[in-house]
Amino acid sequence: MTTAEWPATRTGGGGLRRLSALLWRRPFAALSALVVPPLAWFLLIYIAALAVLFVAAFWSVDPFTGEVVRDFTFQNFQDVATLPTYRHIVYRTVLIAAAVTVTDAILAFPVAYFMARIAGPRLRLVLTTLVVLPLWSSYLARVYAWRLILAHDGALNWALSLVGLPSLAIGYSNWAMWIVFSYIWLPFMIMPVFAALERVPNSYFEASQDLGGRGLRTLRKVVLPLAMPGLVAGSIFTFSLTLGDYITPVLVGGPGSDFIGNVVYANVGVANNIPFAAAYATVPLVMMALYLWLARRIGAFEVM
Amino acid sequence: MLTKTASHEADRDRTEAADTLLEVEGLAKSFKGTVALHSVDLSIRRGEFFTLLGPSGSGKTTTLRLIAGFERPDSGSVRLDGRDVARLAPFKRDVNTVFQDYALFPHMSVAENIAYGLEAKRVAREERGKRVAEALRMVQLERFADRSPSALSGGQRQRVGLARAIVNRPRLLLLDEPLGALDLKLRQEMQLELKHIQEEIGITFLYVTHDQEEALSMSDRIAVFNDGRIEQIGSPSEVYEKPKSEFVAGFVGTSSLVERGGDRLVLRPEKVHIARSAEAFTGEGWHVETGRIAESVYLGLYTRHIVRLDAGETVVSVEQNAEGPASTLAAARGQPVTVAWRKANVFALPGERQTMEKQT
Repeated sequence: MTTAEWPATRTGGGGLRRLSALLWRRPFAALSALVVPPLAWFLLIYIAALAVLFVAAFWSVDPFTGEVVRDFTFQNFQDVATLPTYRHIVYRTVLIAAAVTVTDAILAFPVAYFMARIAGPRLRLVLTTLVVLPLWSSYLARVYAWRLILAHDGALNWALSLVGLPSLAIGYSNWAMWIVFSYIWLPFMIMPVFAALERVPNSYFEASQDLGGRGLRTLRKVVLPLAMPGLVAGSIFTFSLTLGDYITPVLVGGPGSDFIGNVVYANVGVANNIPFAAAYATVPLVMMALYLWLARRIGAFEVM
Repeated sequence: MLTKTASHEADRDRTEAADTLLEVEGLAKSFKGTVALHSVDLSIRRGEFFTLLGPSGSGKTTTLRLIAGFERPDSGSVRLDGRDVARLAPFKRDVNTVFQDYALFPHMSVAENIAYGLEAKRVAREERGKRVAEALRMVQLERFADRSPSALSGGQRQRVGLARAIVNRPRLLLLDEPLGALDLKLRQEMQLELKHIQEEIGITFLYVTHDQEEALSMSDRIAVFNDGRIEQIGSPSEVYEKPKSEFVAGFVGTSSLVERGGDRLVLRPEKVHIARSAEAFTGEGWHVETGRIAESVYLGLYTRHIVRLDAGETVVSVEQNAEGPASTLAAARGQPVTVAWRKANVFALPGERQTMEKQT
């Protein structure tokens, strides 16, 4: 395969041609050219930023000048661990993230199952589109919409009064956050569970039935374990996305509904205490690391 | 072996009525307007190794899936020991299936896979353990009980599939091209093993394959499928020696078809002899013709000659290389030869109900 056979070489070729030939002769150069940019991006922007965050967490702020003091101290972490306010906010954030994850898993499974195993190809396409459609609209618009629904004189209470039920006071509360987060992150649970269920060969279902397994046994012993990687993948999304959010608490949470993110935001902006913000921001990181470790321990990744 | 099976079968014939395990009548199924199965009747005897043989799309797998309960028939009945199960769910039928793709549960160990059916039937733990161990021993996988199916080879996986089915002691075991994914050598080993296991446990096997050699070597009886219908049911030798249709003649083994005196004759290659002159075929019962060698292919065990008869047709003849590669014929193209067959050894196709285009 010599380039001499190609008529274009007679014209002398361009720089592009020479580059192409060079990459052909040196596969390592070609590979490097492909891998280095994303790797550099990952190392510089992501890992480096995390490292800076972690280092900054051990600094402090001079209370008089507001300047960052670059001396090593554990004070920030001590505050995070001991001050009741901050501990309480961590509990609330983690609890709601967990509740949202469980809710989404329960809501997503039947939808994903229907999409993957029962719906025909056309209906499946329609459903897939419907599931991801909300993601095309602005996150803010969707949260505001829920604000309108859940507010005291909102759509929900209006509908309840129509059928003669007492109104609910769940606007601007933890309940409202739970509902809105569950709604917003639901597609992130449905899609991986759908993908996991779609991959299960039909013959597994037939084999289970053939061996005497009725619907429930098949679901419990075969379908759920095989859907587990999808559920875990989805829960990583729903859990971490809720854990890191600070907009929904502001918009639908009302007073006394701060999340970890709100504290970080307040310390970066209003309080100008970046070291404390950095220390507090490591909390969800550690939570996620713990969560992934736990998922691994219970063997959730093994079926993949 | 073969003669034993044959005499066995003669015994069975006498008590057929009492010994029928499965009776399929008028079974029909179509998918989205395409008819997969026209109207199938068959009856399988207790303890029999019965094979459904046919090309893909001929309806053999559909028949198996209807018997297993994975599909519901449009019409017809499937009677297992006299009880019609055609419309029952798979878990309400006393049959088990060995799948072509093994269908082993990847999140369970080998032993857990095998125990699955017993658990579903709420067999007591102690009994369960005993039966799983026994099934593992039968397929020679005792050492692999705690392995994951993904750590096994294809042949081992299919043994697990077999053990998982027979541990339930079904009345009828369905095997859907169980060796289809294995390579030739392993397939031949597994054929023998399957046959031995079947003889040992005495469970009735309903075996689906498109491999005619597999069907001939393993079965007590074969049903040859074509185009959603059964063309013939018979013992391997009946199906091979006395095919009832052109399709069967062509699908089971190779054969040449010639028309002589209004009869359409099935000529099996091993029954067509060739020689330089007609002197070789003196005596009673020979039919002798002339032709020319169109092609000769040396194949080690034998040489295959394709001969163009002067009457017009082409026939295939095989000659054993008993005297080494220097065949009795200088296998040159165009070499004139005498072609002969014993009239008793060739079989005329019945009637003219078969259409020509079915020959593959």
